[in-house]
Amino acid sequence: MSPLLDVNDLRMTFRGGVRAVDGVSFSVRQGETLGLVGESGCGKSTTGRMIVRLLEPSGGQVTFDGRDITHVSRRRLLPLRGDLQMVFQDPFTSLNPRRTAAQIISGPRRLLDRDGTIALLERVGLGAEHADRYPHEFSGGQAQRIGIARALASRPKLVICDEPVSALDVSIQAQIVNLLRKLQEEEGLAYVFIAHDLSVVAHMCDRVAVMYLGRIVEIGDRKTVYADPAHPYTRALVSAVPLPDPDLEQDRERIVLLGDPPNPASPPAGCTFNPRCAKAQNICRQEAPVLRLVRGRQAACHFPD
Amino acid sequence: MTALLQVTDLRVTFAAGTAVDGVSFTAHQGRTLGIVGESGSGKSVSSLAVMGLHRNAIVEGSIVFDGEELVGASPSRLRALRGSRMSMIFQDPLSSLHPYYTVGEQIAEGYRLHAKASRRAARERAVEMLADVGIPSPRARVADYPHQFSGGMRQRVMIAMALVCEPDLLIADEPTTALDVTIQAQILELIKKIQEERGVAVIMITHDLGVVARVADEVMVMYGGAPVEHAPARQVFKTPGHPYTRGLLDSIPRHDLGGGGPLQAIPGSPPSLLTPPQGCRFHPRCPIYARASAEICATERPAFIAGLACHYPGAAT
Repeated sequence: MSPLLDVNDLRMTFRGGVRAVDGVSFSVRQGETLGLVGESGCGKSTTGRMIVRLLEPSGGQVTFDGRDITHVSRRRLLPLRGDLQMVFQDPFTSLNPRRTAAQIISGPRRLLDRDGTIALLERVGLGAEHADRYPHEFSGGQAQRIGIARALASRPKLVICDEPVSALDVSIQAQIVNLLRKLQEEEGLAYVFIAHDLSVVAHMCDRVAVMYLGRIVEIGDRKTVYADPAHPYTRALVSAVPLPDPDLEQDRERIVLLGDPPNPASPPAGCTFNPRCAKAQNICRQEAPVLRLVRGRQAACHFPD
Repeated sequence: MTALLQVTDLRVTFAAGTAVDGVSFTAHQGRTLGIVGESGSGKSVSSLAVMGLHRNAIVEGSIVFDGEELVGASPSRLRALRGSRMSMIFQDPLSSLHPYYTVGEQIAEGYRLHAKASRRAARERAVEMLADVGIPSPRARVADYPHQFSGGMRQRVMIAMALVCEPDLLIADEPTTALDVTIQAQILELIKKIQEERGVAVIMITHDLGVVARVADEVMVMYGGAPVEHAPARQVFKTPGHPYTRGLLDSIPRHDLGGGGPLQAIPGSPPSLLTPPQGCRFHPRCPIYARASAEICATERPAFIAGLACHYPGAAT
C-alpha cells in the first residue's frame, strides 16, 4: 500500500540563506502517527507548515494521497484542504476571537449543520452549552479541544499537530493526548505530531523522527529509537529529559551536551552535530553523514552507538 | 538546623482576588525546596511576596528571613536585602535583562550598589562571575549585550547577576521552562554546582515534576493558592499522600516506561482564583470525592496537617 503522505528531500531556505529545513524525507501511512521531535530551530514546525502549504517549499516534493501537492495552485489545493488539516500550539491565537465555537468549527464553508456541530463538540469532550461561546470564555484545554474539532470537521485523513499540548498544564496535557488518541482510533486518522517534549511524543507516536538543524538524524520505530538510540544526539536528548522519580534521577547516566545548537545561517562543515558530539572524529568535521540502516532504524552518524 | 527563611500562613490578596491563601514553608541553607503547581496555583506569587516584589497587593502572615520579619518591612530595607542576601532568577531571561546595557554593566550594578565596589572592581567581579557560570571567554563577552547571547547563555548571565553578591537564598522561578531540554540539563547542573560550592538555599519553582525530582530535597505541591502536600522529595514521588499529587504523577507522560498507552488524566481544569470552589479546592476533580462523594470535601476546607491537606489522608496511595 502506498503511504498517505510522502515527503521527499524537502527543503526550506529563508531569505539570508538560512536553511531551516535541509533535505527531509519521510512517509506516513494511513492511521499512523509519526512524531517529529527536536529542539527549537531544528525545522520541525517549518516542515509541518510546508506539508500543509502554509509555507512554500524551496525544494523537494510532498505527495499526499498519491498526488504531488508541492506546488499545486491555491485553487487546486482547496478541495484537498479538507483531507489535510492542522492543529496549532496556541489555541487562543489560532481561534478567531470574534467567532463562536460553532462558527469556528463549521468554518467558512459551513461544513456542518447545528446538530453536526454539537455532535462534534461532544466528541471532543465539550457540549451543546459551549456552542455559542467565544474563545475568551474557554480555558486553554477547552480552546484546544475546539481547535481539534475544527480540524476534524472536514473529516481529514491527516492532521498535522504542531506542539498541540505544550502550552497546556500537565493535568490538561494528558486529557488532550488521550483525546487525540481516541479520535485517531475512531476515524483512522494519521498524525504528524510535532513536539519538543520527547515524553509526550512517546505516548502519541508509532514512529519517531529526531531532527537537528534542519535534518533528520534518526528515524524509526518508537520503541527501537527510545530504548536504544543510535545517534549520539538522540541519546543525549533522551537522557536529558527529567524523569519524575528521584531515585532514577540520581542513578541514571546523563549526557550533558556542551554549548548551544549552531546558527543555521552558518552551519558547521561535515556533520552539523560535530561541535557538540563527544565522539566526533576528523571525518565528522569533513563529511556530512547520510541516513543509513543501523540496528533496525535509520541514523545519520559516522559512528553510531 | 535553623531555617534561613520561614514563611508562615502567607496570604497575598490582589484587587481581583486572593492568589495565595495560607502558605507556610521553610528554606534551609544548602538545601533545595521545590515548589510545584500548575498555572494559577500561587507558586510564583508566594515567591514574589518573599522578595517583596508585589505592588498593589496585600501581603499578610509572616516571612522571617534570617531572624528578620519582612512583612511590613520598609521598601528601603527590602531593597537592601534584594540582590545582596536574596536573589531571584526568572523564566524568561530576555525580558528580565535590560537590552540597552551590556551584561557586564548589569552584573556589576548590584555589586557596586551593595558591596560599594568601585567601577573597576565591579567589572572585574562581573568577569569572574561570567567565568563561574560557564560563559566562554568571559573577558570579551562582558561587554556584549543580551541579544548577543543564546537563551541558555542569557540564563547563565541571569544566574551570574543573582549570585554576584553571594546571596544566602536563591529563588529560581521556572528557570528552565523557556529553554530546550539539552540546555535545561546544563542550567540545572549549574544551579546544583553553585549550591554545593556556596551552600545557598534554593527555592525551585516549577510546573515540571521531572525537574523537581532531579534537584529538590523537599517538595511542596500547590493547588488553587495553597499547599496540598509538603514532604521530603522521595516521599512525595514514591508515596504521594494527596490525590492531586497522585493524579499529577500519573498524568505525566513517561518515555522511559515504553510510552504508547493512554495517559491517566485528571478530569476538569484548575480552579479560577476569582471563584474558587467551596470546601476542598480540588474536590471537583478528585477521584476520592467522586467515589465516596463525601459531603465534607464539598463544604469544609481541609486543614494542613502533617504535610497534607486532605480529609482522607492516605486514601490516595
